[in-house]
Amino acid sequence: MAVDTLLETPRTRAAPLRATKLRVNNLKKQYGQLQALRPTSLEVGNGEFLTLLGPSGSGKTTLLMMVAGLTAPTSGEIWIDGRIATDLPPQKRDIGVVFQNYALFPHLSVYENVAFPLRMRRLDNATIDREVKRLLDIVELSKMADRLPRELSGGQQQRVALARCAVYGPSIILMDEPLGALDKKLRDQMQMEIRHLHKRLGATVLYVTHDQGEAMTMSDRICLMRDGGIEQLGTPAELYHQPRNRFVADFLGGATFLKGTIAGEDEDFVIVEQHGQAPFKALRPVSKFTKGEAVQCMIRPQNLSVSRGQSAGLNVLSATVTDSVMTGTMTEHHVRLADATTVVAVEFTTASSLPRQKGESVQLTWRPADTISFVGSDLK
Amino acid sequence: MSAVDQLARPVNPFRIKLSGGILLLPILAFLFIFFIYPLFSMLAISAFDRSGALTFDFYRQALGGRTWSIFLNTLSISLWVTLFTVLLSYPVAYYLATSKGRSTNLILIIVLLPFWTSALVRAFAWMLLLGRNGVINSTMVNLGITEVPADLLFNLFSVLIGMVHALMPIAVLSMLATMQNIDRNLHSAAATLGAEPGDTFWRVFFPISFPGVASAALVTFIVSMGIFVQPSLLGSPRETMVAQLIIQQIDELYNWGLAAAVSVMVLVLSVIIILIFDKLLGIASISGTQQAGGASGKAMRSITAALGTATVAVSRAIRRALPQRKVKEGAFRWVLAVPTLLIVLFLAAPTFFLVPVSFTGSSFMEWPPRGFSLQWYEAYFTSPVWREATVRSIIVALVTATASLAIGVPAAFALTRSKFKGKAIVLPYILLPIVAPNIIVALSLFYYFSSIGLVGTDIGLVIGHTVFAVPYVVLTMIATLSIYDQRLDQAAWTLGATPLTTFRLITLPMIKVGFVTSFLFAFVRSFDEVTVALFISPGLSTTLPKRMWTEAHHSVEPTLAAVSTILIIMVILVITASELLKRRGLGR
Repeated sequence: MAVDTLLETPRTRAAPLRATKLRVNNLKKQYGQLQALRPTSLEVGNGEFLTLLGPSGSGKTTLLMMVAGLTAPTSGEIWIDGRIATDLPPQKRDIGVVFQNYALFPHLSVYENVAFPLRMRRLDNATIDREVKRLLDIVELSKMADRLPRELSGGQQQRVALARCAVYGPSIILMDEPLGALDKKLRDQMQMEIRHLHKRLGATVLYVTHDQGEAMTMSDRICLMRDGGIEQLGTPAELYHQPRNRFVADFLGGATFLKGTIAGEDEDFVIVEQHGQAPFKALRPVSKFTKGEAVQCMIRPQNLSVSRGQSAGLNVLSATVTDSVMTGTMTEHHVRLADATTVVAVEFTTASSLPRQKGESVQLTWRPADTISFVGSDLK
Repeated sequence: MSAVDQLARPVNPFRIKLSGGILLLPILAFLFIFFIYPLFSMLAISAFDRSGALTFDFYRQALGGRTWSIFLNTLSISLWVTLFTVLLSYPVAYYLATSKGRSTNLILIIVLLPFWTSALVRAFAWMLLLGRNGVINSTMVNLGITEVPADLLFNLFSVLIGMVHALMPIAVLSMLATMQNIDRNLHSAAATLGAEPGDTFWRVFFPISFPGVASAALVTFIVSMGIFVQPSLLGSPRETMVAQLIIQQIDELYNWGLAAAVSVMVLVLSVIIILIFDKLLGIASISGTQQAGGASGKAMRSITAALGTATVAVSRAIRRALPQRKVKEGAFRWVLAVPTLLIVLFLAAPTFFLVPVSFTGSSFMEWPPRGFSLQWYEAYFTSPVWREATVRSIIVALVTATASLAIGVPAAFALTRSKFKGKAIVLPYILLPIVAPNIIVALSLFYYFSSIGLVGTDIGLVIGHTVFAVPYVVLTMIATLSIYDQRLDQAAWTLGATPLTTFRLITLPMIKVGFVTSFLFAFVRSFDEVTVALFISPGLSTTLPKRMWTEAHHSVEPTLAAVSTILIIMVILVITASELLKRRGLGR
């Protein structure tokens, strides 16, 4: 599945056009009965940071390992720089891989780990020394050069792995959950370092993670995967604002889903009816629909607001406050609708905004244009 | 990681071409030609007479009279040996599995010491300890406890002691393998749930460790049925076991048919016991991965629950009887530590009595040694017979170790790294020589070699020893390779190293400890081996253990103590070296 062109609207910034660096064509991997990757096609532009995002078992690591040449595909092709690379051994692909557990050689010092790829390329000692020192400088580990990997902290090991991968300037860098083993604070810091390194090296990066926040922070484009196939491919904004289906909407950040049936149409919108509640307007579903069909509408929490009055043109539902929490920058209002659905609305904390009282009756309002609706198979 | 991500285990592009088959072919062919085929062709002669006609004569002989009573005798001795071995090994294994620190490592080394020491040396030690002029009798007479020396040697008692002593290290190791996998948090969890130590042990630890106990018992029983060194050196004719009978039939009577028939009976019995074991516990429990379930599991749960209740009741009663003193946390450990130390002493101490005796001025193995003299060392070093035997043993052991590594290491790589059909049966097939009674394997090799002219040759010895050594090499290398992170290899490939360079610069330096350990293992197996040597190196071209065995039957001179002392020192050096290597490997 390629990018759904229907979703290209002026509101989102399309990825800049680049020359194709990596092309995956109908690539498939089968393990006995199990299809780890359904026939998948994908293009990655030169210098692009593309993230393969998805839950465990979605096939993202399988895809990455086949690009690396460490797993043999069942069928399909891999093209790098316009040349077919499907059967090339990993050392001939001009790639660098940062492994999940770093895979630093435990018997070699930090210096020798970083020097390893240069020694494999038979460079002279002076060049090796210069390049290793330059990279260790960049990752700020010059003082650790003589240590063994196990004498470093997790974050330092991670930086050695990055240095080792970057030192020989591979044109494609593959990263398999490289930050999975780090704690939150270190992870945030390393995310910025990796972005920085990416810009500085100008390399193409294929990055695997199951963390949506990480994917949104770092990527030019995200390829969201599930059950061995691509669900949606696009910029973080596209995936966030125009999810193709419920799975994508749910995976990318908080979302409220309201269930109902389609009662009618109104230009760009459909009228959604809920049992025992006022009807509201939502954007037309992308897929074909019929009147009376079951529909689910997704609204992001920051697009919902809680008020006493009404405003023209907005959707309105009556609700009861169950809890109201000020978390800092944001204030969260937990409300319950007439059909017992609980919804979270988030707004900026300001001097004038006060937490709502528990049990208070309020109106939940939001713009019809912020309401994405899914029908049929998109609900799965 | 999910199942899919794990299945996406990367493949070395070169390995696709060199998949399992080619790496496994040498070992599979070797074991077929020199283990399976000789075994079956020897077994066939139990049912055919000289003219080639089918006959049950040999079985009729085997099932009647003296042979049958020896068979039953073997069963009963093996059962007793199994019982005592398991009972004595459990506390040691438990202590090793649940303690940490320096002392644990030391105890493990002490347990391993007899494992590496020649069975003959250990039997000599018991002869010295239990003999009429031995350590125990002299001490008792000197202290005035008895006036005449007691008859401690050449009876059922001495045979049992010698065999239990010989088999305990294997039993401890196989129990330890299961116990080390038991999560230590289970103890804490049980304690927070209100279980007292007695309850925790019987209701939690023991049931989980049971598969280890069962497999230790299985291995002990099967191995003891094929033993002949201890009953022959430490027992009287009444303790004759089938292995001795087989040797007798071949050496003295040349009755191949009867020897083969007895072998078949032992093998069939072994298979039946393994099948019963499999039925009750599942063969997977040998590796400690499966739990007893069903009816037998239920029965065991009620037994262990009763034992738990009883233990708790006893410990409460003791605490009530001593109300003024608080029972300390560590008390339970001390109750365990003292018997453990005694058992470990029983394992390690006996051989060291041979050391002073080797310097005796007297010409008998007796205690206490008289005077000081180096004559027995001189006798050893100046005798061409001893020297030749020693040199032959060293050369044969070196070649055996090299050959075992050459065919065992590729097999271990194939078994840990590639997937192929029939993998599940390849490992048991390779490990068969460990489980099959040595005497039968040696006998079948003798029969086969006599038909192809390899009897009495060093190459024949090497082949025979490799059959026994290669399973240990495969096991050790699998253990090394299964903890080796293959992503290191992949990292090297992606960084530009060819598969060969990767092996040289990354894989090899990291698995070299496993290599050296395997080599030492195979070397010692061969150097100590006496069963194959007994049949295949007759006459003057003998090995060191064979020479010791012959000597022990002629005259028990202190030369044996001198040779034993040299072997003990060698074992200590080997163990120290491998411990140092291990520590360096861990980077401490």
